[in-house]
Amino acid sequence: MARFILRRLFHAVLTFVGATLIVYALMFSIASDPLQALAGERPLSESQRAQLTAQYRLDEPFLVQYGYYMKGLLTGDMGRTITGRPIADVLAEAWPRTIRLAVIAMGIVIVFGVIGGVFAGLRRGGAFDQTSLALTLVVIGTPVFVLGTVFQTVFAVELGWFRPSFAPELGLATYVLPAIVLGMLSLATTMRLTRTSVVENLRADYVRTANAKGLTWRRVVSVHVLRNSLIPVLTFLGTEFGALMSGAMVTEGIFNIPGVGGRLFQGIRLEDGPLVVTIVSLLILIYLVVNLIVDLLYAVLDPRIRHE
Amino acid sequence: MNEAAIPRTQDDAEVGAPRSLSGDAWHDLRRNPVFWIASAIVLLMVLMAAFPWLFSSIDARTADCSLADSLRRPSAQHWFGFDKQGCDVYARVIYGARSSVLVGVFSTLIAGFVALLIGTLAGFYGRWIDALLARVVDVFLGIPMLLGAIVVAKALSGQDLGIWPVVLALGLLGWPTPARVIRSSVIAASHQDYVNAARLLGADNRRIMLRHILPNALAPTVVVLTIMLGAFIAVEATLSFLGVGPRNTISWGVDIAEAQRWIREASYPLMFPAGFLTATVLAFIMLGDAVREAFDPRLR
Repeated sequence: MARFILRRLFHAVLTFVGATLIVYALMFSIASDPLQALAGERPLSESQRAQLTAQYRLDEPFLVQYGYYMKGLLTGDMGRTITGRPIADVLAEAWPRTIRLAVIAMGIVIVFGVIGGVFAGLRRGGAFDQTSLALTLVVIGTPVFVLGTVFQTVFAVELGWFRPSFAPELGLATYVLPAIVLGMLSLATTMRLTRTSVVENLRADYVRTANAKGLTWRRVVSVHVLRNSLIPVLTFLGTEFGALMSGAMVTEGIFNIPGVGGRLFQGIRLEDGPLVVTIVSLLILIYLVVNLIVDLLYAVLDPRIRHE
Repeated sequence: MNEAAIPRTQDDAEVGAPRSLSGDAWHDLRRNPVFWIASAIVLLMVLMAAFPWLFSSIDARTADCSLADSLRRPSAQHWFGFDKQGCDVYARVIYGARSSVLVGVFSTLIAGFVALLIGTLAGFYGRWIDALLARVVDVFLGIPMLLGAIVVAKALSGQDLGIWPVVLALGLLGWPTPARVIRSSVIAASHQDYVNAARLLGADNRRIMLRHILPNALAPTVVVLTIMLGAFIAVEATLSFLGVGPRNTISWGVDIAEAQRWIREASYPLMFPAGFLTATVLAFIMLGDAVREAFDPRLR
């Protein structure tokens, strides 16, 4: 097990460095003259230019600059937005909103996705199963921003059940509609995955054995089928939590929620390079850490994985 | 197959003869209504992308929109009404298909080519090549598609390159998933007896790869690429929606973003492009799903 953990850690570090290096190189290649961008319309004198170049280490090779950037990112010094605000401040204010949104979305996914999937799987081919298969397919085929704008139109503007944009005075209630939109795709995928997993496990030999031993249907399902069916679902939900964080960009943009995703949405519109690259790198970091945890958890739950 | 005993049509009479896997799959597909519906939608979208003038008498690229028509309701002459700028929504929806379909097709071609190359190399040679390529795949999978595409599209957005920045971004970020599928089917195929037989008969690597292994990896590759094509169209629309999509083209994503701003006044300029986009994405996903089901012997 220790060897497995070490190897996975090593892979995660490699992936993080590779992925952020690519993102950094691309953002680096965008800015043709960062100093002029910093100065705006004002002309820069030679001496100012030389001083700023030294201050921002622009004369160093690319890889050294990347190293300094990563060091800053991991020690909490994330630089400033193009308007001069420290990015760390922007994020400190934005994180709680995104986490609230993602947690509520995750709750919706777990409650409706897993329960719906189990129910559909146990009555395979029934009316509920058929309907949910068709509906989840439609959801999977609908881009999140379409779902978001359509839900906003129908449920907030036309029917008036929710507010069309962020209203902090409503507390957690203001997150409900955005969370439904954000969680919808994961909900559909989770439901399908749970269903398939339950259907496969119902056909497994140990279920036949349990039935033959004369156990009640209730016990066979709750102890034998569910426990084994939920292992892949659990790991999928783990990776989805990371995906929800990045999916929050579109949802928060549509509903005007000033969370991390909303800031990224604005950063793209305002061409705020430093803010965009920082948030993207952090999201990649979260995604990788969550994936690592899920992988390790999977190895704990399913012994076949660690003895590969 | 109980009915097979009583041959009624020519089709049923064939059941007795052994069919190849692809023959079997085609037999199943022809009976699947989902396959036909999805194919019809895909065909329609491709026709709309290639010959938009067949569907609309107004050329949305050159139409002069009049603000007097701003947000006018749908009518018999203008089925989908008008948007805020007073442009005919139906014409814009028809002309918007082109950029979506082109981006989908070209990025799938790039992703498919890279995936085929890397997947086959990793699966066929194994050992350190496989280990190295697995790390490369991990790095690219570590970049969430939408976030990575924003950065790439933004990096190339300085010049007016039309759809190409987005195509390149999606192609370069989309290959890892099909590459994994190809790698595992190549590994599965190369352990088959007929590959050993071919090797004993003196066939070289190139021949074995092209004649014996790749044809067997084809079905899963086509399935995963069809589904990816749908996903690419969705991401392209999302990028347009965010304002980093192809420039100076009519696109569903841009129209949806624009319509969202006036949503309190009129919802149909949003609903129609959204409906077309969803139908297209869904059609590719359903097509891929139907082909997968037909080729999966476990479901028989």
